Amino acid sequence: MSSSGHDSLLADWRPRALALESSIKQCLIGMDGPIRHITLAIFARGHVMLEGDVGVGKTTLLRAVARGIGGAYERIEGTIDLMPNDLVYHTYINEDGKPQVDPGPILKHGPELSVFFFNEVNRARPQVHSLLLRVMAERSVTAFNREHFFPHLQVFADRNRVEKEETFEIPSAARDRFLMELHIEAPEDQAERLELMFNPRFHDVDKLLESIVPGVLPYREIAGLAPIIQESVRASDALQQYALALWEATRKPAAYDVAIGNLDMDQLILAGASARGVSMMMRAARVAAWLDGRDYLVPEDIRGVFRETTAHRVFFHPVYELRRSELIGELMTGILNNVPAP
Amino acid sequence: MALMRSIALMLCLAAGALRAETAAPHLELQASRDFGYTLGSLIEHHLRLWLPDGAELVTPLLPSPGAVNDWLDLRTLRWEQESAHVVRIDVTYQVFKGIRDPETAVIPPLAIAYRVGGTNAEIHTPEWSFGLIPLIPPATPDDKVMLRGDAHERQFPAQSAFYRFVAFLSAAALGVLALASRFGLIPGLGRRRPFADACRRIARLRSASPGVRLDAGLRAVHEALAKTHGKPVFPAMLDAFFEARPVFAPLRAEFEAFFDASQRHFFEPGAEETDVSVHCQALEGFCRRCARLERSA
Repeated sequence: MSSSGHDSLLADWRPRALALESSIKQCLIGMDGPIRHITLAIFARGHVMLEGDVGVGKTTLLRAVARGIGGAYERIEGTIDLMPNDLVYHTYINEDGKPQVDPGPILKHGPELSVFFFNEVNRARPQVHSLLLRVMAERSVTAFNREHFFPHLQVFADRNRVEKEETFEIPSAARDRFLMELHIEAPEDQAERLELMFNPRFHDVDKLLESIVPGVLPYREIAGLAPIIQESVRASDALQQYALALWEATRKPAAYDVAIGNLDMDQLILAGASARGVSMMMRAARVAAWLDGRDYLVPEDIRGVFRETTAHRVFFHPVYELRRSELIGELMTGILNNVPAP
Repeated sequence: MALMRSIALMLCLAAGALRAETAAPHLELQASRDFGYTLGSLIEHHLRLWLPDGAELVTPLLPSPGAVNDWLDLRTLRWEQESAHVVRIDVTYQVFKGIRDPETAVIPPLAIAYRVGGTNAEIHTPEWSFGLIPLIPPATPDDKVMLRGDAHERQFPAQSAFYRFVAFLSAAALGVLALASRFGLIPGLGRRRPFADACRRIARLRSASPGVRLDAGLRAVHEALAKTHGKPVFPAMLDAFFEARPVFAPLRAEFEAFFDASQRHFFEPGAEETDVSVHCQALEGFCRRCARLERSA
């Protein structure tokens, strides 16, 4: 496709993306930030992990997104006895009294699977996490002696941060496969809280989600559009230096005068953001520039996705890892506040 | 008549003086007191020796410090020529006589040698009696004698030294603070003027090419903004910046234009930058206005 063809394609898709965003915003109050980030993830072809308290709207948000994207949608609940094969197939005795094997949630729709939602992912065992890692990384799985591909697949997972019993921490390799990790909280605004409490429209989730036009985005075309977005949005030398400094700061925050209380910053970081992580950050930032109507990146594009794409990829020394939720926010804020651009 | 009497008196006085200078040498002894001395006391004698013409003290033969007898030591002897005929000699003795009852002790005569007409001669101080009292009260049995404790250490007046030390420390601390504030190491201390510094940096760039000048000028203003705000300022943070530093609020439109220009220059690849010189001048003017507001803050 020619350059002008790309330009018109991008121009056509931009209103669609914004339409999906505004459609979801109408159903979910106080979630403009997460909705924007999920929109970025869709067009960056990245998977998303949601984390938050119970009942703050994580599942509703993902159901809304799935409806907006269209395509086949599957969902599975993470439990302690869930095994990898439960995702791939299930066996039962059919009406003829014979054993039968049917495809599981991942294989059921074949290549048409568009959204796979793994609820309470941290309740599943590490074996299941391994399978999920393969599905996320390669958009494929091996079953029944052949490989199955899911070119349109987008994985969403959520975990609640309240309950820790009978849960399994997701390994860092699996976490690194998620483009973003979004923290979902109940809205702070009093008016929005009152609306959630007293407007019956928000009490019936199924009915609420019906207001979203299904398949706002032709999901089959997203996989082809995503690389065009990445190629068309440019990064100047100054911008590249800024992004590089941000990456370096996740590895050596003390070099950028980032301080957290009286912590010894040289002892805090076990591993900074991975190369895959920062490339995902730039993918999301390029989509943000495109949504903003630009064909070049500015620092705000990166700053807008820095926390969401990087925080879960920075690992602390074990003695500090237990205080992760307390420290990671300060670290990310400190890096954004201390790295100048240009 | 009166004049004759005066002349006669003067002649008599002159004759008297002449007699004194030609008379035999004589000694005069002065002591502060002759009572109340104890074991270990120092006794000072001040001697004045009148010598006749041609006589002189033979200093090598003067008594040397040392034991005078079994209870008296001569500690020091110093002499000084007061005039042509008078020598002053200061002698210090120390008493080591242990007694149980008060008694009178006698310092024996001290021989002072002098030479006259090539011959050595001596003149002796008079015997000197003084009252010596015991350290132990009289009629006190030995088993009742209490030994005194050691003398306490001498207290030196250290107050002034302490004050001097405190003054030195204060001066040193003030010096360090002054240096730290001069180099901007203490946040909030000393008036930093980042925009004034940026203006100077931009002014130094006048001879550079317009492209280099614009690039370095924009960076200088970005740095000034970051120093003023305490962290890098991005366009989306302008509201927070003006809220924290309302003195710059009148220049809001110029700040927005600055960020637009900066974004175009640094991040928009291939953006055509026309009239770069005009941009440089505008940037310099903007920086000067910021520096003025900074000064007024």
